[in-house]
Amino acid sequence: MLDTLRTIPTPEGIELTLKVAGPVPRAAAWSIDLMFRLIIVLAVQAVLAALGKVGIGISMLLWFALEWIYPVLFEVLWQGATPGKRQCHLRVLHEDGTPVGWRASVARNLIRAVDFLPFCYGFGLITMLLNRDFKRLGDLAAGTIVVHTERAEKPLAIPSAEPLIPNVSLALWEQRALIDFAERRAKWSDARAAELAAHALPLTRGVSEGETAKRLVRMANYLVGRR
Amino acid sequence: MRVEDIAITLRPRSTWEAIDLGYAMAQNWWKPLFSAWCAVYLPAALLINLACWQHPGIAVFVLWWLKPAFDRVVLHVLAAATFGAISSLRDTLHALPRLWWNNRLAVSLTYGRFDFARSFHLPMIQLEGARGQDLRKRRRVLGREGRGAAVWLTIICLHLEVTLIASCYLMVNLFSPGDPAFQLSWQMLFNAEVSKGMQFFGNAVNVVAISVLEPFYVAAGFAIYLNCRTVIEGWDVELAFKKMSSRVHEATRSTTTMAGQWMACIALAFAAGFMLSNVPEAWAQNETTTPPQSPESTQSPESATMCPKLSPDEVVAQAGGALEQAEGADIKSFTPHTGAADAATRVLDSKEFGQYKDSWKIRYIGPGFKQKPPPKKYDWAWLKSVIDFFAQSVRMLAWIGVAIVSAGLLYLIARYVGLSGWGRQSRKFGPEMLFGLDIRPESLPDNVPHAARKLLDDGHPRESVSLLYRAALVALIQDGRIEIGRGDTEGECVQRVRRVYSIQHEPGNFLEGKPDYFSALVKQWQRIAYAREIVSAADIEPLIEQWAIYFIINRADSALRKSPVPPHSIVAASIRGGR
Repeated sequence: MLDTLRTIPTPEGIELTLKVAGPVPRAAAWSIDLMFRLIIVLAVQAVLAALGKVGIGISMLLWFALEWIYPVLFEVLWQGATPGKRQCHLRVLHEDGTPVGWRASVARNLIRAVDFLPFCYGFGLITMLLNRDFKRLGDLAAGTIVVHTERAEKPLAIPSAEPLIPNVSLALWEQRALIDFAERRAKWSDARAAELAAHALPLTRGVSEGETAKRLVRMANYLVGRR
Repeated sequence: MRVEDIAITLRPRSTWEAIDLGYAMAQNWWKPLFSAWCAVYLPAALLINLACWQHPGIAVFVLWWLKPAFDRVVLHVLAAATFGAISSLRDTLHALPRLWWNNRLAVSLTYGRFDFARSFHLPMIQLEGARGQDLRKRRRVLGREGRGAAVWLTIICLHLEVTLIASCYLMVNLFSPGDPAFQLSWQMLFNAEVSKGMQFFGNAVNVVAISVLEPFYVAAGFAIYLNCRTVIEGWDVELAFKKMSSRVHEATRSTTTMAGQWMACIALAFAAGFMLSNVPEAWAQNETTTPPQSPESTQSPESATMCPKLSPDEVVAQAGGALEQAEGADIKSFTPHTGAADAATRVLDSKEFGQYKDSWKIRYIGPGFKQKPPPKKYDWAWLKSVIDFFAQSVRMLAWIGVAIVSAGLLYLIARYVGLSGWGRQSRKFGPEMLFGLDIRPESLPDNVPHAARKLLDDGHPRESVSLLYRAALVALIQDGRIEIGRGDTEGECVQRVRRVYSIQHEPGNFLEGKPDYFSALVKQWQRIAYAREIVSAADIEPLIEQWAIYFIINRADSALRKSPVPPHSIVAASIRGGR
């Protein structure tokens, strides 16, 4: 099965899943960062212009800092995300899923210079396309990975109904599917919900068609622990 | 297409994640995708370039404009692969007429070319066969979820394409010795004085860049489309339910086949154990990897079908890998480490390093010889004026910004220093309404106890207490030692009064009784307003007498006073309001 998930087993026996992010969201994040940096530089330059050559010197130093230090600082101190990445819900991590550290962040941002060649991340783009984890050269060297962050966890939104014990013992993923069904029930028309429910034949056999979806929602209520 | 055959994991994703899935799909099926693409696109590119021999620039444009036609080929291969049937090149070529005829190609190549979510809409046309009204409806329904990201996808992919093209140019420049192979400049876009060879080189670069990126673009659009349908139609749930049905069906079918499967599992586990026991040291190194699951560890008979976590092939591969690892370790331990330095010295001593060579070239410099004129420099003066103008306007904007900020600062300072007529005056006096009562000083009569007594004598005890209470609140707020918020209850007011006035006054001070008085007043008010008890005039009398001892109302400038609100109506309203 093809997916963009990467699983990382921890010593505790838990599997963490990371959703790797590809060139398109990362390009979007980079453009947002570029915009931020340009705004900062232009704003400061407009003020510094009054200082003449000293001002030019200061603004060049500022640009240097924005080019090289800005990504590192944000990635290490702000949960692995520059403002642009945060806007695009992206995050930099070590390959093993731990938060990115100084060493890795500095490495990946220094090698940015190579990725940038020959023009505006040409090498970076090609490397990402050739690579299963969409890593650019900097990521390959530093052992980092860019992932989509989890959106804020939504509370369980199952319409409450009288709980019903499922008549078949269900594996974990089947229970998950049943809960998913109940949670997203409101998005579907009655006909579509009945159609879906009809596929869960062992649970809905012998129930009239109008009742199948309701029956599954009741079972989901049982599964999430409502009694 | 059947959902069961799908080769990607179905789960509701964000649309950006779906784009990444599309890129992963193009990576995964790159062979069929790119072979189909090249088989169709490259001949077409060649033909068009030959046809536009006189004007190579037009060929680029035509090829770019014809993209939707080639997108259809990619989508055809991709959709087949996604639903479990990788179509061969011959099938694809066979399907070409069908893909181009009666597939809305004419629309896609005319006004449809400006569709910014092209790759997202294509599956609806090609796979669902939606047309006209249906298509519009489908676009609306699915577009609600996916159109935004699909438009961004198109914009970003366009930029990636430009990036790749420019990269190709600059690569050639980087690796051409001496002078750059060509001058890349904006002039090149407008001046036709570029050699034909150069132009065709540019066309080739374009073809390469589009060939690399277009399949990714189409795949990403297709993935957004799949994700939208997964979310809207619940494909993931459908698939899970179907799998569950077949699992339960299998589990309840017949016990004999199940026993057979158990036997197979056990035999497999024994085989695995045997193979691994042959390479004990290797296994010791490899212990961190997952050991084969024994069938006893699975608990329910349902999971018997999925019992062997390691297939026989995997077991063999693992055992073999362990063996290799062991051998590799042996070899490594015997390898000498000293050879590298010698080898380096040898290489540096060889004649390719540190050689000098004189080379001679004969050139005619006799009569008639002309020095090559130096290339004319382009006049950048106009750019300077543009930049100057830009700089001027930025400076102007900056001054305006500074002016706005300083004006704002002045305003804030004036407001907090308390210049009259600046900012909101009412801040000082707290809320205007409390518990549904109007507590502006202007709404009170001039002599509160007098007015209260008059109300009591007239047979309105409620209004009388109400007035006392209201006036007390006004006085407290004016006093400024207590802050009463909009949401405070009567009890909280009493507590605050107690805290502030008990501490701040020494014993013996006549204001000492203030908290007690206020609490008694509140109590009477609550009895009247909330409990609706009938209170005798004797209970109210002392409250009226003592009011003036504890409270005083400071009037604002009488010219500013609004007409007082009759107290009756307010009390009535507050009682009706249920507070």
